[in-house]
Amino acid sequence: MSTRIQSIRNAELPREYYHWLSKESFWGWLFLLPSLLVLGLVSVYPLFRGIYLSFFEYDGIADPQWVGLDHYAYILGWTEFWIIMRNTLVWAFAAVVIMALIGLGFAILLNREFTGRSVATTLLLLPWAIPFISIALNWRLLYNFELGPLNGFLRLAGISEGLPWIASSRYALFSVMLAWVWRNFPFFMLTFLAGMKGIPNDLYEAAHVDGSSKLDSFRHITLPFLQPVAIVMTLLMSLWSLNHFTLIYVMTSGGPGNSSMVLPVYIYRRAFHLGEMGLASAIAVVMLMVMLTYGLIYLRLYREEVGGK
Amino acid sequence: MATDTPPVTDDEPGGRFSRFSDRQVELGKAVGFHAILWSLIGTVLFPVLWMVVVSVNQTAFEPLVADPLGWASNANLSGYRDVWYESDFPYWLRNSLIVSVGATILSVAVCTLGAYSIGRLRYRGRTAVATFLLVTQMFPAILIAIPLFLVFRDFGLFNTLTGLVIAYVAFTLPFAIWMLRGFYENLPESLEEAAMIDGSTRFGAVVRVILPLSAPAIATTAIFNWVLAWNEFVFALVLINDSEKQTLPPGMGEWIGRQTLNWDMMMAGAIGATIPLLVVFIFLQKYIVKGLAEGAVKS
Repeated sequence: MSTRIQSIRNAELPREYYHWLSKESFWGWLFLLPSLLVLGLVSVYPLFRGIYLSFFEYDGIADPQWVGLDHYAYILGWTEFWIIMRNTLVWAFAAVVIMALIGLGFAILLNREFTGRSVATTLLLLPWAIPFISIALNWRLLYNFELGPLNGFLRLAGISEGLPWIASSRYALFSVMLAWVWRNFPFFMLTFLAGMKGIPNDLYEAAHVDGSSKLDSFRHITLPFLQPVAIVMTLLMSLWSLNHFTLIYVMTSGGPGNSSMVLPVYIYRRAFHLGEMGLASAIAVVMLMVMLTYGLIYLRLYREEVGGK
Repeated sequence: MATDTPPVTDDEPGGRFSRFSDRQVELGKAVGFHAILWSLIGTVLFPVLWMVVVSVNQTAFEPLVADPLGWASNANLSGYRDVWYESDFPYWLRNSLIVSVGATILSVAVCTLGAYSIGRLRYRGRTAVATFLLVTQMFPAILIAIPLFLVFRDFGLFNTLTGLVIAYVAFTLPFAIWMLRGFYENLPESLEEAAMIDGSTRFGAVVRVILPLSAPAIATTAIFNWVLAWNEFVFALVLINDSEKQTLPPGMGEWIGRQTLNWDMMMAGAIGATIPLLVVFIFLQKYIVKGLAEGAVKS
């Protein structure tokens, strides 16, 4: 095969090769057309329409009323909004850090030869193969005061009479976050494992000969090698976390009060329960600004690693 | 593997472990390692175990520990029967399957061409398109969902599975292209050139040479699309109105507050919703691992 390609490469190219049908730009845009069409109609157009809608008062039925920047002025001076914004940021970024650390821990454990290794890897990937809705119902039961095994264990061990978990404004956000971490740490585990496989073994041998400790090798060889992978995963996971809806909506609906409320759930309720689509869109536009600012700064800082060649 | 250092005893022959032979020390370390690893795995999997336990016989933790045999002798499938006959679960399952299969097939077809274009062809503007794809990941889904609801209402797509499939294709597309792109970048150059010099068009070359080569990568992308579509909540919640046209996630979400005490039924449903994902996962696990590795660690 390769010799064949070689001989073809050395041969003179026929004139047809330079025809416009052979131009990479023609085929490039042609192949992109379906993707751009779908994204344009179902992503970009609604996005701009949503931004436009944010300048109106609209309940979905009566004619929209132009209100200009009123919604934005209202949002920015509104304490409840800032509480929800803080929850959203804590939810997204704290969770990603915890996931990454747990994922790294398991990757280190699994990154050696032992019997049962592939079984262990498969079992640790299992949370990823369970739908969010099942996780939400499952963890709601785990946290149940009477029936839940978590409190059951605490009572049996004589540690406490049981914690209120998702029923308390103090623990609710953290409790749901735990379920989100449980589902997503396998992502980090797998990418870190793959990254570790790519590190040449010679480096560790050389470091050992030079008298470095295991910890030094980890700090100066393993971590730097994993950094590019970690950067991409962290960006994607934090954006996905900001967007995540199911677990909070099903486990707490943002309650008690607004203690575990995050922006997507709040926007949904404002738009579809209270019929305030204009205000809801304005909050969503603020959320878009936050995500774009974060994402673009991140991309600028780590252009190389994310692969924006 | 790579982080393993030689056994401690090499460095300190007369050290702490001098009372034990090398073999015993190795054995002790292995036992300790396995004890830690498997108890951690047990902890991680406990929620899944509990889901299964409650689905066949609803119980709290203390009674189960006190009398596991009593629990086992009363186990039955009434939770599964209830979920199938007493709720709209069969409708939701069917709708989820239709929407996920439809969205996965369409999305794979569209994203394969797009990923090939961005990953392989050289032309002005492709970097901009790649960046644009990443930027779409920064759009809040709920910001898209509100106007999409209005658009679909105007075009008769509201409350239809067709509309949901269209929404899911757009929703899964950017990440799918991004993943597959890495694979095409790493293919050796001039694979299609041979076919093209033999008289194929670029499209013919892609179909005959590139597609067969990239089957595993496409399978991985399909799995990711499948998982995304199977899990999607917001669009289904907003774009579907009737319970009988709803998919599993919002449908089962309705149980909260209505079925407060029937945990056996809810856990049976949770397991039922897991099976289609688990089947895909078990059969295609090696592709998932490989795909994540290649997608994330591309050079």
